[in-house]
Amino acid sequence: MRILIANSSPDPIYDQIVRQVRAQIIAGDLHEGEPLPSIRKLALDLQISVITTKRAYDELEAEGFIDTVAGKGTFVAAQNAEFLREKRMKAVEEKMAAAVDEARLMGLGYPKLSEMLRLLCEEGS
Amino acid sequence: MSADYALELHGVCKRYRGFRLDDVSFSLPRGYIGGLIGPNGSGKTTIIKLIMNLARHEAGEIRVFGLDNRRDEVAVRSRIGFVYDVPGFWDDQTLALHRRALGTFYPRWSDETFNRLASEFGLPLDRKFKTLSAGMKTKFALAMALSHEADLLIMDEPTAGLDPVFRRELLQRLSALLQDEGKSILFSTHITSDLERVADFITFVQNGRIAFSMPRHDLFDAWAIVKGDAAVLARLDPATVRGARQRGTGAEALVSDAASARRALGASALVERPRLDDVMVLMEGEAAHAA
Amino acid sequence: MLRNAIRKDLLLNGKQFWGLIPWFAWAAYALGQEHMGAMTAVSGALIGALMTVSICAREDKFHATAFLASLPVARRTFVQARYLLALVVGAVSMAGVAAMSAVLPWSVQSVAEAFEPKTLLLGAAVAGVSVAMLMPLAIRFGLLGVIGFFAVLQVAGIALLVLPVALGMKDVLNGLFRAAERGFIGLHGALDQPGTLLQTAAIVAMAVWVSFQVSVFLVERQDL
Repeated sequence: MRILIANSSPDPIYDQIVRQVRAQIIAGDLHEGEPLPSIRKLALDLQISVITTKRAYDELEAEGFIDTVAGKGTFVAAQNAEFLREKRMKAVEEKMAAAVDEARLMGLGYPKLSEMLRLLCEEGS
Repeated sequence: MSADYALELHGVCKRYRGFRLDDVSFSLPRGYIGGLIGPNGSGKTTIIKLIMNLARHEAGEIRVFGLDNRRDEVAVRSRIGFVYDVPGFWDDQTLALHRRALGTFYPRWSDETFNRLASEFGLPLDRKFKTLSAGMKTKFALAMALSHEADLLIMDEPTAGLDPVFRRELLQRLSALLQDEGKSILFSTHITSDLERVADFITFVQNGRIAFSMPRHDLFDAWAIVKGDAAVLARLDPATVRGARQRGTGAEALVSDAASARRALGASALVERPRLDDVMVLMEGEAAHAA
Repeated sequence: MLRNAIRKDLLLNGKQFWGLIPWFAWAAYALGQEHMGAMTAVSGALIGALMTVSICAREDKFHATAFLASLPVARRTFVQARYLLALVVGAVSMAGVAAMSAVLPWSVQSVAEAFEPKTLLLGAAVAGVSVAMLMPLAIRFGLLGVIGFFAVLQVAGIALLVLPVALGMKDVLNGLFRAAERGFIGLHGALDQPGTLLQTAAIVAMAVWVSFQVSVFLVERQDL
């Protein structure tokens, strides 16, 4: 599991951890059942406070991404394929919404926007 | 449950000539580091003395590991490693003699642990206490405090007098101690960067009262410093403003709700994560204002 | 815990007792003089006990009181250890005199004289009463307490000397001194009787006990 903390970022540190772990699970870099470091080990490795890692893990657990088994540790939770797909769709949707907001500020309408999207998709393949 | 807390203070009061500690309440759950911060003379040392029962509190309750700190004071103190800001050792005696004479008071004392720490800290055991530098004296007190498997480490200004290298080392060592989730640490300091680095809970003592006590993410993520024109800052919800000041270049305000500040002011002001010393300065200003 | 407290006093504060050496030198000399046996023995008990009381000032100087109070030990235990040590050191000093009077070749004392019950009791009484008076002050107020006590004593002494002369009552003063002298000799003599012996012992024991209670009371209430 790879976590990089940007100290100067305005985003709360626990939030950075949550997003990175979440992204890795969704992308499949972290597999179901894979063990995660304990909150204390993570805090020591990242040189941050234990309560910060605890908050991150609590949120990930609330969202259903990880499970903590008493006495055994923390593991990546079994991910529902449908649930994961939905999450990924939501991520794409959010990015699109951001692009639409920016476009609106500039006065770009749907026709120009969809043209840009088409070009980008063709670029990819 | 009481035993889940290393430390609990409820409504603690103490009156001295010319100084008063009033209605002090805060807690430290087991397995975390709590920091007591505040200007000199605000009451940090007094709070620590009351917890150790060096001074008797006049009202309220102090529980350590769920035990009453006065009724069960011997049981409580056998589990506390204590580092005071005034070295109370025998000037004309060697460190080794101190170990021999004092270690046995602790049920879980270990000479091996002490000797190991002494060599790690570079302490000359055959030298007399008075020949040590200020930093060495603190290291000795630390070695004593860490050699009896204390569940709670209480330290009053432990980093004062330490060189920056050892200070960093000490803070890392403290964090490493907490790998054992049964251990807890409380330390008081006026050096804000120490707390910013390691504290899980931050308690701000001001004029004998607790100005706030919260987990670090509440302070650093939910609170914010807002910088901008005084006119713009006036639009902030006053219920969230904890302190403010005018500067030549504009105004600054400390708010307890960063999100609402961003919504209210948008791009017309800078909303930043607070630094602990900014928090202290702005809250001091507020206290002086109210006085 | 009491054992640890006594041990700690011996290890960390034992140095204080080197101060007894000058007295031992004087005692060795005094034992060569006629009729000095009892006096030497009694002074031994007193000096030994007072040396122990002075340990309070030593710890006060080092600010050790707060540190000791942070240990998992009741403050009362340290007070107990201090009193016990005072008793023991006083007794050991007296025994030292007895040993010296037997061993030193120039000693003109008989061991019997140094070991007489009434001498022992007088030693215990003088030492005991002094400890009873000084220990609570020393243990609570440290160096200042002891100095304060002697300052008050000195002032009282000077007042006692000056006032009668100023008020033209010099004879009264002489009379008082002679009465005190007679009292001491009288007491020493009276101690020959077993009844007085027991009474004195009881009074001294009670004085020390009361002093101990006062010390504990003061120390437990102290804000450090």
